[in-house]
Amino acid sequence: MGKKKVKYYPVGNGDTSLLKTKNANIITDCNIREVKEDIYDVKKDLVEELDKRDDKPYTDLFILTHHDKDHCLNFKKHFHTGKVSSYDTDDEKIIIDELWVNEYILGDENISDDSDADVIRKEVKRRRNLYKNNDSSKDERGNRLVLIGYDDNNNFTNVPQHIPGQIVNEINGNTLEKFEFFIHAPFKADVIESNAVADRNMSSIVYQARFSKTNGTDFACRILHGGDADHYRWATIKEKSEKNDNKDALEWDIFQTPHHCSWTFFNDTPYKDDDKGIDNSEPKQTSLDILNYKLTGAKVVATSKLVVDDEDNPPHYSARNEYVSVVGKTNFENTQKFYDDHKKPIVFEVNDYGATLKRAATAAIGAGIKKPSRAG
Amino acid sequence: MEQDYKEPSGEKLNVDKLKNEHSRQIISSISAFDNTIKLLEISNSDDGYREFIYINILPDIPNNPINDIRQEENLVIITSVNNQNLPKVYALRKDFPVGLPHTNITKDERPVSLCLFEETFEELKHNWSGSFFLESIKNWLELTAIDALHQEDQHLEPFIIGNGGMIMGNNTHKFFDKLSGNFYKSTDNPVKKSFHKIFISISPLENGVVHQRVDNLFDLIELFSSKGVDFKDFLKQRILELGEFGLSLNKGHDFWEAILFINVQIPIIRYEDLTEPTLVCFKVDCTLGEMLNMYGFTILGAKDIHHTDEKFSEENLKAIEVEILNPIPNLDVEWARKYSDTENGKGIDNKISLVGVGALGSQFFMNLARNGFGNWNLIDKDVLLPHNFIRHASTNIEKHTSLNKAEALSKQANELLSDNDFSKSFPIPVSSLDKTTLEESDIIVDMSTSIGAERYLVNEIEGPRKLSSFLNPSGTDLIMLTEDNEGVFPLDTLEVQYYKELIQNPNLANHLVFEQSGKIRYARGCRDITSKIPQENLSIFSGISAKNFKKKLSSNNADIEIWRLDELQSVRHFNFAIDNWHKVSISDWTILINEDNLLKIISSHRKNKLPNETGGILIGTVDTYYKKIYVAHTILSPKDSIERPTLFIRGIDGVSNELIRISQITNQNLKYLGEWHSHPRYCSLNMSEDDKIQFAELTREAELNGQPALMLILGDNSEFQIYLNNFKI
Repeated sequence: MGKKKVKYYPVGNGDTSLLKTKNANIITDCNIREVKEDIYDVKKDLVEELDKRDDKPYTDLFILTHHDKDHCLNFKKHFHTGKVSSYDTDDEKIIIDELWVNEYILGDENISDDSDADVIRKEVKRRRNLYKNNDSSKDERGNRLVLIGYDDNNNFTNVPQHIPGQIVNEINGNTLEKFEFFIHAPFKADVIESNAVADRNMSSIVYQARFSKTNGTDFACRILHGGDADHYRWATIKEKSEKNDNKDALEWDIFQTPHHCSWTFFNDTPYKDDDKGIDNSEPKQTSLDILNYKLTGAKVVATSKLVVDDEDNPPHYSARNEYVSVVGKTNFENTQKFYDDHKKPIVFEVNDYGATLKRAATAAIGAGIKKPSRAG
Repeated sequence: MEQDYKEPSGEKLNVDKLKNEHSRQIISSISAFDNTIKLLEISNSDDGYREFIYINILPDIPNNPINDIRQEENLVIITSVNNQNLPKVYALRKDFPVGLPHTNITKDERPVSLCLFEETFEELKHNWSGSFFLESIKNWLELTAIDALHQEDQHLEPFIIGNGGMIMGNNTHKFFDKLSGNFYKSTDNPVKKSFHKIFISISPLENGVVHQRVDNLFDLIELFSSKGVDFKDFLKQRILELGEFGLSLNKGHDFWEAILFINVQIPIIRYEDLTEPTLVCFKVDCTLGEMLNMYGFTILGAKDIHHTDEKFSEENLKAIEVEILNPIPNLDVEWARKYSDTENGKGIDNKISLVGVGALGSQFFMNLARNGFGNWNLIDKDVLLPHNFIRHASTNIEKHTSLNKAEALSKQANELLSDNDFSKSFPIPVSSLDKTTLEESDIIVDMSTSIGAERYLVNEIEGPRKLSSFLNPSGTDLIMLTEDNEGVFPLDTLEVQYYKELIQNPNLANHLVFEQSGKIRYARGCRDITSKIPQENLSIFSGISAKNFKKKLSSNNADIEIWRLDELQSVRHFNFAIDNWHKVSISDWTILINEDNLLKIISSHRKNKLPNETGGILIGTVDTYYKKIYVAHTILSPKDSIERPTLFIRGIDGVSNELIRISQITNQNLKYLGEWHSHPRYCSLNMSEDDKIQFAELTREAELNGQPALMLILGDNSEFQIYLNNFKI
């Protein structure tokens, strides 16, 4: 394992992020587009970042916040499903040791066949069945499954579960070194509601990931990752955390803008429709309160296409302005803008001084730590 | 480095109007930094000499930095037309932190001038590039942000950086001398001006250089005041103490007129509760009397003190010039040891007697003196003549010519280390020296190149371990003979074994050979001959001998070592297993027989020849003064010898040539000593009638040579008897 990092890939309106802790690599979501000019080769970078076992790249944990397309695009192409023994070396797919999902992946009846979400659903079922049948291989890496949140339809019998309010510092049966998650969502009510109204965003996993300093007692960096959770979910997160004396789980050094910097974090949409007499342009106080849990030098990362001053949503320009008013212009980063400027993903290195955004290009190929692009 | 910022007075420039090569290099490199560096503006000074490059830079700064370096900073880089200086870099943010480590001292506190490199441009220019420079700026900002620019093992920044130095010697020094530049040195020379060294210690301060200029006492007091230190108050106590001391001893004019060098110890905080002391010296151009007067005390007639009001007006204080000096300790033994990493060396405090301080001895000694190693007796009767300076450690031909070598060298080393006790000189032959001086040494080093001196030390001086080192005549080989700690293998047997090794090792056959043209006669006397050896050989070999000497002090073993410098300047090391010697005495003679070489060889030869008798020639050397015979080697029975069960007649085939070879290789140090032969099994070792005839013959010949006749009879079980003249041993 190399340096501790938090990496947000430029994947347009979508999410692919990587947490590199002292002893684990953790991918959250994937929206890996076909590589062409001006589309960053996310898969190549991931494979270089991940460790290999028996020459096969693997991630210790994959967190699927929810199964909307912009969170699982090309999962089928880039991630191995099925038994590890069925791995085809030519595909160079990434093995997922432990998979975290919410309940709605199995409750959702609108997943089209052979879509990426369907492939994930099948893999979840495969793993789930190992638990259900108490198969001895269920605890092996490549088979492990954890349900995050409430099991509304009893689809996850015997599957381990992490619920909101819980601190998780173990994956694959191993303790995470100087790192832990605080699980914020999905709440039971939201799981039930997402099933009822068929809204995947409602069921989104929300977590605070936190790196500890070398002294082991203080936190070096806290990251709030919201998937696509809207302001209602965040209001609940705030309320429950404050009520349960978990205010520190709301603090952040890095805030990943929920739903690709859309207005849904701040209020309902549409933002404003004069014809219909709709005005949601006032951000909810609860959302602003969440932002005000920022710590010194905190940064907002909009995981979206370029944020421009237009009517588009997401990303929404007024949302961007709200974020900028909280952290300042220099601390608002956008994955696409960063890629345009620096030709690389947003990467923070984490050490005892906090998170350092690494803008500078480094001679990685010449230093032998990065493969050159393919020659023809 | 002191540098002052001046606003650009010229015009705004386009990139294509840039004249300075460095400017062009820096600007053309900006694009490589992927938008983390942006060019804002370029302008120049009105003389066109300097160009100002304004940039915006986005260093990678963590969200919780220790120093307030921001994720976005504006800087100006100033290049000069000759491209022979490093461009200067200033941080333009109005609230950029001041007092950071690795910032330059400037007349004004802002803009802050970044000190990017420890090296000068002269050193850096071969790796210089625009991107290297920009990367260095980024690096400075990023490391300063987390306070990592100043490495753990690096000294903390001084509180304030002086322009010159005060070299403080002995504490008893009362006078000071102005050296070149802003350097001063304390001295005991009463011709110089007198001074008082005042020492004060203040409360701890944060790490970081003060960026204010201090020209006078007013500035100094203000500076400390800005750090919450009442300098005047700290000083007052010391000044009054000094005044009272002067009065109590009824000190004269010099005392009150002495000016003040104030050494201030400032603990600098490295971590929360860990401080490291730093020292700065202020030369305050004010006499003790004047300073007392400032505090409101007037000395009347050096006896009485009159109290008036304090006179610390701004005007008065500004009139007293202050120079900031770096306190520099004078070189002494302790520093010499520290800087040559010999502090913990074994034998560092040994009393060492060095016999012979010629070319090798003097340079060997000075190598160790520069380490602060040892405590020395230097013994040499010779004086320095002009030709000596080619290879002697003294290069002071002006003052040292005609001085005794030991005296000149001892003075040189003692002055170097400011320690009159570091070495003592004895300008006499070693044999004239009081033996206790040598016997009280921990170790005696013989570099006299005199066999006489070496034999004297072996035979006359008891106690200390001895070591002898010298060069071969052509100066290509260094020899070092080292006794063991217990004295089991004394220098004389090591010396004789060394000769024996030369005849046995073909690589060393030319070791003692030298051409007549390799000698030079420097005066008319018979002994006034010196060898033509270049100084660089002495330099190499004196280095080896000094280094090896230190190594020997950690080992108890005896050694015979030779280092050979070849034509490609590589040095080959030879060393030899030490032979045991059998010692027998009769009357006033001592005979030492090499057991490992001689006795084993002849016993084996006898065994091979049995039932016949056999024999051969004994080779070695005789010290007629100390009545010692060293039997080191043999020539076994030549081909034309007659070997019968009751008879041996030693032949002569090849003997002459072998004796010549031995003589040449050993420079006549090993030679024919006598004969040996074996007796048959079960026979006594008494001389037979034939033996008696041969021995009488040998005795006659030996008398001619002025040495005893020697015969050895070898019997069963390697037992032997030696006959010396007519004495049975």
